[in-house]
Amino acid sequence: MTRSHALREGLRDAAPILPGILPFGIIAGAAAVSAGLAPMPAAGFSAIVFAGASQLAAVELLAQQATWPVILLTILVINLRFVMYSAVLAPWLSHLPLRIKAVLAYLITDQAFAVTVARQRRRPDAAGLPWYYFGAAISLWLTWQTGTVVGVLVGSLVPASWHLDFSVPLAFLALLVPLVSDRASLVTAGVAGAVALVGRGLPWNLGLIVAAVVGIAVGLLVENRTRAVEATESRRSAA
Amino acid sequence: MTPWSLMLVAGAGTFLLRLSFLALVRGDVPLLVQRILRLVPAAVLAALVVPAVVPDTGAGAADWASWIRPVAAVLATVTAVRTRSIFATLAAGMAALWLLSLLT
Repeated sequence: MTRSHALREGLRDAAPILPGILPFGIIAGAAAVSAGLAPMPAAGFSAIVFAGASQLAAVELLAQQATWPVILLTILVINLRFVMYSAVLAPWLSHLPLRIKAVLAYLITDQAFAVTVARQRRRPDAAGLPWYYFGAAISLWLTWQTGTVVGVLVGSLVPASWHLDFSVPLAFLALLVPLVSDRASLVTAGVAGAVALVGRGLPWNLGLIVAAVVGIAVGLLVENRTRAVEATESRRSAA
Repeated sequence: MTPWSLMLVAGAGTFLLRLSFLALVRGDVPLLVQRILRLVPAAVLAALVVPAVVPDTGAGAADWASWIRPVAAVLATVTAVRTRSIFATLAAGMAALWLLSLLT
């Protein structure tokens, strides 16, 4: 009873997100084919890695003839955020056997994580959290796989005059904007973007990694300063 | 390396990142690591977007056509800020690109 109820609740809460995921998946499939991947590896990418932003970045680097270690490093850096999601989800799923945890881990996405955290904050005592998470995550997985297969099939049919390649940075923009929620994340994004622009000519396409590292470092400094200012102010108001 | 072996290594690595804390019995992420991880997506996505939409004209003067993509990207950003919707952002950016291409 709790199970099917929580499962349905997860499916229901993920449903409004799916219309945005489908075109993103189509773009990932189409971009993989136009970067020169054969249809099977292009679709396999979504099944094996299942992480949209990293797939699109890898495909862009493939199209630029980047070397394999650079592509691999880029994928892993982009997906580092999953460690944080894993840490937040861990206490809620700790009672499950490892093989179930492995399945749930494979299904971690930004969106499944976001709706699950929102439910936990809204109703901390609600039962069936793993089933809720599974319902949301599996519907996102199915939508993503469907989208990429459609993209692989129709991507090569779209004429170049439609400029469909522009949808890739647009998809990144749509993911980026909600992440810029405070001064530190704004500075991080601004500095990383500027360094990436300057670093366009760096060898082995390392501009992205260098830009991310510099952006994060500056963002942390800004966060430190904000905290120091807040601490001084609270001391002042206490005195 | 073939595309398949790259994908398998990338897939295994990504899976281990996802499994990391779920596989531990109990674990707390150090605060500094948490702060770094929080900023990773914004840094990486911005580093992907900016060079993809700003024209690579070097020192030479840019023509009108090379400003179509930055302008469309700005309009898409405004849409993203207002709607928070992937679909609306894609639609606004592509529509702006097509309209501006027709005008120039």
